[in-house]
Amino acid sequence: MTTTHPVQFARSRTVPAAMATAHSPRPAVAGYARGGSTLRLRRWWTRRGEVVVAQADETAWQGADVTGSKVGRDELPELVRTFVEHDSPGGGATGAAAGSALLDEFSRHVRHVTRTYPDAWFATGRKDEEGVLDLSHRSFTTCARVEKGRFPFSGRTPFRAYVDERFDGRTVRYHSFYAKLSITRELMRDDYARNLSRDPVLRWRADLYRKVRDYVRAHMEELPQGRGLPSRWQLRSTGLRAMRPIGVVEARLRDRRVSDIETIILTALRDCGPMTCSRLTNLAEAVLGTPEKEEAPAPILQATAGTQVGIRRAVLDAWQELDDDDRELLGAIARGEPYDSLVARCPRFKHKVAVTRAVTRCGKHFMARIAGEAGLDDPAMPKGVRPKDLLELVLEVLVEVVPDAVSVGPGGAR
Amino acid sequence: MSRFDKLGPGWADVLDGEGLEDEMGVDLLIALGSEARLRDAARALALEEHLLGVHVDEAELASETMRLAAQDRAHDEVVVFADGGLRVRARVAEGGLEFVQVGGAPGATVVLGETWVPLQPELVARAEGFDEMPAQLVVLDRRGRRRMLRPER
Repeated sequence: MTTTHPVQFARSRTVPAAMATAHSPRPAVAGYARGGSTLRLRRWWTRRGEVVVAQADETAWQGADVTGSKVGRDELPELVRTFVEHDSPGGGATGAAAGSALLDEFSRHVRHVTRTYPDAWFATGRKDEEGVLDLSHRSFTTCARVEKGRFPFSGRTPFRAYVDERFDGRTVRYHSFYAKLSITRELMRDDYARNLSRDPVLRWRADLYRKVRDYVRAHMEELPQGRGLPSRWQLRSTGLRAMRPIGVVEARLRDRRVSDIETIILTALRDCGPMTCSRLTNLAEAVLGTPEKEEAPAPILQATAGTQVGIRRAVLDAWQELDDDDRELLGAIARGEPYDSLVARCPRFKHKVAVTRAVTRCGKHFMARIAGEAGLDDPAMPKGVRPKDLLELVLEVLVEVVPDAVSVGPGGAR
Repeated sequence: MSRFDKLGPGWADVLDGEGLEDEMGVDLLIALGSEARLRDAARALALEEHLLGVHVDEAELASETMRLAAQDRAHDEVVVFADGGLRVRARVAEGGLEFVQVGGAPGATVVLGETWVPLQPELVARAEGFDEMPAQLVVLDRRGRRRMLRPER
């Protein structure tokens, strides 16, 4: 594995050309210079973490013969190994020191990785020092504690895998921070998904994506892009068409003040060719304009901590009291499943009467339980209290108790 | 548009017109289904942008723990700058320059751009944020005269 870096040297010395081009991993050649100008260096990493430096330049070589000098080392693999070996209740000062040094490394690299991301990808919804630090700590905790099934971890914690596989520092950093599917970026993806379903403006974007996805699934042809990449979509009737840059299409749609999603999708796929749902969503968002952020209304039902616990218990009890078929029905609703797939599992719901009765029964049952637990006099929802006020709590509990209540696409990290 | 469109595909066809609108708890189920679909869309959108590598730049931060031997050399280097009897020993150390006045009248000040470093004979004075040895040293003597010190051979 090689990298090139521009490095500036202050002094100019002479070195034999043969020495300068040495690529062997022994720590013999350390650095070269040419009159204070910027040189390009190549670095080779050995198993011991040593660096061998050589310069490739068309001009005559100048540099320094520093045989026997200390050569740079990448300390990260050693830090990880020390931390893993001492990561126990009696690990002592050595483990603590390694952990502290590792955490510093995580903070530095996470800060670098996150520089290109907008606010929406951070847990707090803001890209600030607190958000970056929080992400660094969670990345570190995930690497130390969470066993990951995917390659290259194979059911081990990332730190354990790094030690077992003897990864060099660059590979450790790649899987922890810099890879497209790194530990840090996976955490950011989950934070972004959470923000998309909570922040009012981002909810609008998620809902726009849902509408785009529903439309293309119903009316367009899917073009799979291979494993690990989302599908693109194209018009079913293909033919010769003049392609236009997406910026031109966007400007034209805005000029025409187009406000329906179908027209935006059809125009984009006709003029720009196949696109992913997220790309179509971004285009639609640019054409329609993002709604202004409003202050969230104060909750009508002031849920105290005690109330929250009570509601969680009520939802759990209500779930336990349902029979198997009713659980299937509620699970299908909570997963946003098509009605037909519920019928395939529970033929009883093929009949309209059975479905309507079950919906009524489940609704009454849950409302009675939740309203009773919230201290409301009437089992029905009282005036002014909307289901929305309780929904967040109810859904959180249902996500836990209903298997796969909210589906996760391929590559999900749960 | 039916309220039950907020549930998954096909539900509206079954539930519309069945008089469920006023039934207790149906609002909750509809809101639940709607919220679930939105969360699913949120996850799918986040995953899609994640897989596409939106905002991803894999360029690695140059690590401070990776030191080149050439940097070791700079750290070891000590240069004595002199102009007449005024002599200042300089060294690059840990992201800064260290100066010790080893000759001349006390009260001299080293000038490094916008940074002024007052010197006391035989005591180390430090200027942060400099990692290269200057080619020559600008020093104000005790009378405020500007002196140009050059490396001793």
